[in-house]
This record gives sequence, structure tokens and C-alpha cells, in this order.
Amino acid sequence: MSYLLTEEQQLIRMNARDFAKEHLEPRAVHLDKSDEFPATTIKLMAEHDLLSWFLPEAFGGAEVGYLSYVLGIEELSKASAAVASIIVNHMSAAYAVNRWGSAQQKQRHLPALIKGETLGALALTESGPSVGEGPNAVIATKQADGFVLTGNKSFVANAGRAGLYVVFACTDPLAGGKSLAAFLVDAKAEGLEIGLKKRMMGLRGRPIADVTFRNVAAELLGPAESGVAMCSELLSVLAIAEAAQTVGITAAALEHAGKYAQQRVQFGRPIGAFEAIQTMLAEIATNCHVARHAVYHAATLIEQGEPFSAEAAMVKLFSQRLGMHSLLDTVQIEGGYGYSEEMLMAKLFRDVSGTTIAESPMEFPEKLIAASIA
Amino acid sequence: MPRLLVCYKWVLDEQDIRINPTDLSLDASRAKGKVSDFDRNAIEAATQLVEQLGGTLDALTYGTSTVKQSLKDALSRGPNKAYWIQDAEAVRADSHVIASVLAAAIRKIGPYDLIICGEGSSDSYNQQIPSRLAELLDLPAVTFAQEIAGDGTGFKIRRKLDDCTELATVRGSAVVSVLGEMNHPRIPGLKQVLGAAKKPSEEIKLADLGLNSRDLMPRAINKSVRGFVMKRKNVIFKDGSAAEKVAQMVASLANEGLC
Repeated sequence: MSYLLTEEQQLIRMNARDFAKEHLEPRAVHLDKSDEFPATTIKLMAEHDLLSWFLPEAFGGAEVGYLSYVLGIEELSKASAAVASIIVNHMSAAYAVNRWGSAQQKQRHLPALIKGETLGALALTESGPSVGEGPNAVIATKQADGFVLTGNKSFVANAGRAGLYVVFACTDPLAGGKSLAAFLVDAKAEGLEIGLKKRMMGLRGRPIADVTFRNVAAELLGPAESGVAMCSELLSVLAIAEAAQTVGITAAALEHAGKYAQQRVQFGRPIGAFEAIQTMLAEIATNCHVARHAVYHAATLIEQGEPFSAEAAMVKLFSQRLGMHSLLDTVQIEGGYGYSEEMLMAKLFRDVSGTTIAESPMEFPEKLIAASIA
Repeated sequence: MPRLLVCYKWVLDEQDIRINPTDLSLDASRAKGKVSDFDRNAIEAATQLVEQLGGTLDALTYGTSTVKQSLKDALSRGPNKAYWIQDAEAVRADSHVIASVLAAAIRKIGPYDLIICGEGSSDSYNQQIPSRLAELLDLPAVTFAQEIAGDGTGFKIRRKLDDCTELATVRGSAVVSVLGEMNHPRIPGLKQVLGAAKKPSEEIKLADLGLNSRDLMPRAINKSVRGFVMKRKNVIFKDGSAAEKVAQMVASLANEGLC
């Protein structure tokens, strides 16, 4: 495995950075305040192939691999983690179609997902203790010509804007989560209802809502008996991309706090000259560096077809700590300005809490990691 | 169909250059390379012309051992083929040397209908290459272009001068420099980056250009480059009446040559 980025990967990262600075950064504050879905930006991103990343050339994708994908997500997140989060959820749905879809399903859905004509969404979370165990669990019932879904999914990202939902539902109510299977649902399908958009603490602009299924026609995705393994793999892919988001937000906060520390003078010296501030900045920089390379390593494992679930759990666990601890420190460094909603740091703080809380691996990361050691 | 050439320089990204606060020396050890900002405008202008008129666009660059790293970046922005000249001494090259090398290379790979350059490089910004190239190649120079339009028989170029704009009609070959305000360089998409790897590139050996030692001898020697840091003197005039304080301030500014 090479630890150096190829020329193409370096260019992709630089171009993602340029795109983010030109098109995302100037609108990020407005997006945070308005919470409006950035439809024009997403369309523009599709024109720059930023909805196609690892998807195959045969369907119009760029097929640049997972490492390039996380490089891009990190850069986009520095400017607007909300937009990056929309893309991450879209790409997770597209991953599922590409990984487990039949030839017909791929042909029907991938070109539209790549061109941005259809936005993807992943519907997994339920209000019960775990998927398939609550009173509103989504149950898939086999019919003569497919399946119908009934139940409710919570906190579905891209809800209301997505054209295609990848839904995990139980095929046997008695077996609960053990009978999990994946389904494709057209957003226009009869009986699909989008709940009220939830007002979230961070990542504003990314729509989140509950989705209710009332006898909604659904198409099985992949083998019905492998739903648990599919869900676990998909969440691991998602965890790696979300960790890349956390790294991006933390890097943006570090840069901002570092500049502030050089400019803010207290007791006749820039505060960056004080050891306490230097220690905080050095800790954040070190953790950010370690997390970044752990994310790159995990993405490379996906690219090379190697097992990656334990590494995904590790980057999720580490980035959760990194994000919250680092942003607490960068807020502290900027003091009252860091705490003010008029400044960038408060937004970054709220955004990072979103990327660290969002979908985790099916098990607690620690459990997955421990299992990989035994 | 026009045959166009764009010249570009691979420079250090100024965002990565640190200024040492003790002696104001520059630390470029972690600086990455990039296509000079103004040359991105030149590549964009040339690419748009080829998209409108058809024809071909080549790119040409001269630089140190890192110059080859620039090819995929440049090609992803539109050109069909890239030529590069590598020279360890390029780090000391001034406008005279750079123009001599580029002109000799153009004689070898040309002729071209238009040779397009940025208004200056984003590192030294001497703005000399287009005029020097035109002189060496015995071609007209049309500098500071803000608009270029082709009609199949030639080009109409609008120049922005200090107090007016000038419309020049070009029949035959010419060297054109374009202003940074002329266009908004595209950001290559993922497929353009991948496509760049499939485009041809060719090294031109410096030794094959027939240049002599005078051509390669810099006329200007760069002795040092230092960062600029604005220092505040923090002088406060607090003694006396308001009128006296103002008078003290004015006298201090006059003493500094500021009024």
C-alpha cells in the first residue's frame, strides 16, 4: 500500500479545495442561518463530477476510488460540512446500489444518481431500541410482484429531496433485526410520506425528516438473507466518510484558531506565544494528522477489497473524540469570539457534533474493534 | 482550424510559504506547486477559443525538476498536448532566459496562430515574457487582452489600457497576454483530471534547442526575497491639549515622510 498520494489524487484534492473555496465557503453562513436545501450547489457539484466519485465509468461515474472520495469530502467539509453531508448520504445510497444492485437496477439508477438527477438517501434509523425492535419498525411483506413496506424511519438525511431511498427493513416481524434486508424505494411511490423537516443543531441545509411507509412498493436490493452484513458494511463505509468530515471540520477550526492565536494580543504578546495555547494547538494538530491518515488507510482498504469494518470503527471512535475535544479547545482559544454566533467557530462546533453523532456502525465501535482483536 | 499555444509557469503556492518572523526570510520547504494564477486565465482563454472555433491547443512550460508535476494539472484544464523543458538552472532564470528558452521551443514545435500567455507570473510578476517572446519570434505582441474573438480568418482582441480600450485585429500569428479579469478559470472535474493522464506530453531537451551561453545567462540576479510584515509603532500622543496632540502627530507623520 502506498502512503503517498498519486498526482491524480493530489489534483483531485486541490480541485475539491478550490471548488469549496469558490462555491461553498461564500454561502456556508447563509446556509447555516437559512437551513435551505442548496439545490443549485448540488447541481453544480454534479457538473463537476462530485456526485460520482467511486462509481463505475460504465454508468458515467468518475471511478476515482474511495481514497479520492474521502480526500474530496474532507476538503468540502472544511468549507461546508452540511453540503458535504448531503453528498456523503447520497454516495452511501449510491454505494449500496452499485455494490448489491442487479444489472438492471444499476442501469436504472446509477446514471441518474451520478448526474444528480436523482439524489440518494439512506433510511435506517428507527425510533425503537434498535432497527426492527420498535412498534413502528419498518416491515417488508412479500407480495406476488415484489415487497411492500410499512412502518416509520427516523432522522433520514436528504429526506424530501431524495428521489431514491435505500431502506433497511425486516422481512420477519418475529425475527426483528435478524431478518433485515435492503430495499430500493422510489420517492414518488404511493404511500411514502415525508414528515416535517427537523431543525437540527448543526449541518443546517441538509434536510432531516422522518419517513413513513404505508404499504409502499419496494424492490429488494441484494440477497434478502444478507441484510445484516450489508447494513454493517454500508454503515462502515458511511463511518469512514463521516470521519473524513470530522477531520475536515477540525482542520478548518485549527486553521482559524491558529490564525486567531497569532493575531490576538494579551499581556503584550500574541496568545499563540503562550505555552498553554501552543499545547492545545499542538494536541489538535497531532490528533487531526493521526485521524486523517487513519481515514485514508481505511478508505484504501475499501479500494483494495480488504476487510475494513474494524478500521472503520476505529476511525469513527477516534474522530468522535477528536471532533468534540478539539472544537471545545478551539472555542476556548478564541474565547468570547469563539462562543459568539457571529463568528465561524460556533458553527464549526455545532457542525462537528453532527458528524460525530450521526450513524455509527451497527455495534458500538469498541465492540467491533475488540472483536477484531480476539 | 486555428493552432494555439499557451505558455504557463509552475510556481510555488504562495499560501504555503511561511515568513520567518525573526529575519523575514521565506520558508518554502512545505510549499506545493501550482499553475500560476494568471496563466490559468491564459489556459482558460485558449481553451474557450478552441471550444468555439475548433482547432488544437498545446501547452508549453519551462522549469526545474518539479515542472513535470504540472502536466496533468495543465492538461486537465483543456490543452490537448503538453510540452515541457526541464532545467535545474531554471530556478535562477530571469525573463531573458525564460523567453529565450520558450521562443526556441516554439520555433521547434510551431508555428502557431496565437501564442497566449498570462499577464505575468504569480511569483515574480515581471510581465515581460509576452513582449520578449514576440520580439524573439518576430511576431506582433498584443498585450493586456480582456477579450479575444475569432472569426475563422483572424482574431479581434480588445486590449485594456490605462485610459482607454483598444480593439486590435490580428491576421497571422501573434503573441497575446491576457488579463486576470478576462475570465474565470474552470475548476477541472474528476473526469478531466483522469482524462489528463491519457493526453500526450513530450519533453523537449534544453540541449536540442540550439541556445548558447548568452541566451541562458540571466541578466537579472535575484539576491534575496523577504517577507513583508506591517509593523505598528504604537506611538500615542497623550500630553498637552487636543490641538497640541494633533500638532505632535502631524509633526511625527511629517518626520516619517508621510505628509
